[in-house]
Amino acid sequence: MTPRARSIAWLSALLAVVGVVALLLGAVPLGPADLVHMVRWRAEGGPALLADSVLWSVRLPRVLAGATVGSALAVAGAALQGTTRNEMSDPFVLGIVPAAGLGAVGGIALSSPLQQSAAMLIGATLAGAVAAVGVRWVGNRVIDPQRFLLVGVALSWALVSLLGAVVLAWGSPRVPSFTFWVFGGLGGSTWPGVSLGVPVVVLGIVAVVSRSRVLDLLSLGEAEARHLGVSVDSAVPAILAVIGVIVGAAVALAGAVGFVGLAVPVAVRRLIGPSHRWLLPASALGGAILVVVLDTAARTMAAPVEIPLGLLTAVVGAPMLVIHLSTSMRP
Amino acid sequence: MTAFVRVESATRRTKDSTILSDVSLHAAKGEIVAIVGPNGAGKSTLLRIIAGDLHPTTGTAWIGDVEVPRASPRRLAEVRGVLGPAGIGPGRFSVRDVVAMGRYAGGGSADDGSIVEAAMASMDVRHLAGRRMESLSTGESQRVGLARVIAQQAPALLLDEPTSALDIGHQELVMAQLSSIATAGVAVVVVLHDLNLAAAHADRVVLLQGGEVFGVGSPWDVLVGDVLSHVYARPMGVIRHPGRGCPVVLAFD
Repeated sequence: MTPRARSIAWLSALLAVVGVVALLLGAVPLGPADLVHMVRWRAEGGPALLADSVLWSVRLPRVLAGATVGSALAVAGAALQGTTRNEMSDPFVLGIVPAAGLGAVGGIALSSPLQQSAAMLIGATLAGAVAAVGVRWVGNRVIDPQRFLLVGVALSWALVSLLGAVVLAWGSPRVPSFTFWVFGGLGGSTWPGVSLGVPVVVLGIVAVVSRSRVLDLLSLGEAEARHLGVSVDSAVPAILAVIGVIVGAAVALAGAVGFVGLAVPVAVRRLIGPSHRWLLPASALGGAILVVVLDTAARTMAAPVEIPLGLLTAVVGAPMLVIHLSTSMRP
Repeated sequence: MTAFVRVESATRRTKDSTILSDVSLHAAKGEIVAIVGPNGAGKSTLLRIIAGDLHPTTGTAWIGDVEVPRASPRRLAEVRGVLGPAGIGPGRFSVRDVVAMGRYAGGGSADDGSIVEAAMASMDVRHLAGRRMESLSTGESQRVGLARVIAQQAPALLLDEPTSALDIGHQELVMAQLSSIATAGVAVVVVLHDLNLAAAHADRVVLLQGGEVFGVGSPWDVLVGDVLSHVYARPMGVIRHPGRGCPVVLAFD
């Protein structure tokens, strides 16, 4: 097994362990036997115990949502950093997350309460895709990478403010609170939301991974990638649109969770190198592990009060980023 | 010799100026054609039109039977390799990874590995194969870029200042390698600032001034003291190289 394949195997094993531990921790303490019982209950039917319904209806969708959101944001961050040739690119910094939030709120406004999960997903993925493609449109007009990021930050906060204004002004109980749109959270994870969001994210990640070679070539710069035969003008918007869809699905599930898209690829790149064929799957696993761990902490550390997930991702992600920037040769 | 690379009356205008005016150029397989001229003469613009990076306002360019402004990036990558001006390398990728990127359009065969190794050897970067790009000097990065272009194995090479960051030893190595690549049946078009490299290694020289062709021909035909003094607005003379017999350009006060 090559070192990179070994890293992927270790991350997969770690995710499995973290997932099981996350299922067992919480207000109702559970053991491995409860997990086995739940699996048997799902397979064979019969009356449900309290542990069965806690595991099946509350924790499993939440852990799945966490893993999905983490994978989505980390893969989106890694691919954005590749397409923009900038390690500081991230779905939140570039405004894709708040745009997807606006799309989700728009979806809620246009739908009936029964279709809320689907409406949020459709609204968020559409808005995410438009915003991600728009990032390139802005980027092509602002060549300097630092100015590009500043423009992204400015647009991002403008969209957050707009989103906040809409949420506060509308004040409908159907719309998640402003905290959800700024700091995220997985407290509302349900099977309808997860069963819609997971396939979208999985298909999106597969699509982005299939473009690994193109992402590698883009790290030379768009002009060089074009010289080597990449149809940059169609390939890059297509990749960005898929990134936007993945981010939209994550926002529909968990609101705005920051720093995962920024810190995870930066850390994973150190572990496994820059080749996207390895970086993207490893980022998916790393993001899933990080969010499942932090969400478990968010719901258990101060129970019964739940800490907004984005607070913890920022507390962990920001120092990771600072350490990386202060120890790497070149941004 | 039949022309493999052809520029037909290319003109490139922007809103307020004409950068290239009715320029034609041809290069056959087996030939090194050097484009020379002072700053702002239109050398890079001409090369970028041949490469397909810029579209001419009027006129066109061909590489073999591919009309450049109408071709897809994939098709162009099959017929020409391009080295742009030296830029920042892709930080964390290894030298070998970057050279292997040259195989994107034509690659996927079992020979890719040996092609990449040979390309690295030809540009004297094989000993750097495992190093990260961010750890290289500008000159080393430039040679890695050349190795990448060579690994592409296209029948035409378009190079913009491939020796700008190189020491004199590596300048000679690169030009000698380009000569042997040309001899193997590749058309090489290279923008050079160093007139003596052009004089020593080019089969033909295209001298541009103010976006127009001022002279075309063998180095002895084009690199003439009076002509160069006029084009570069500086007294220049030409002597014979004692070993190679090619022109050597000298600047005077």
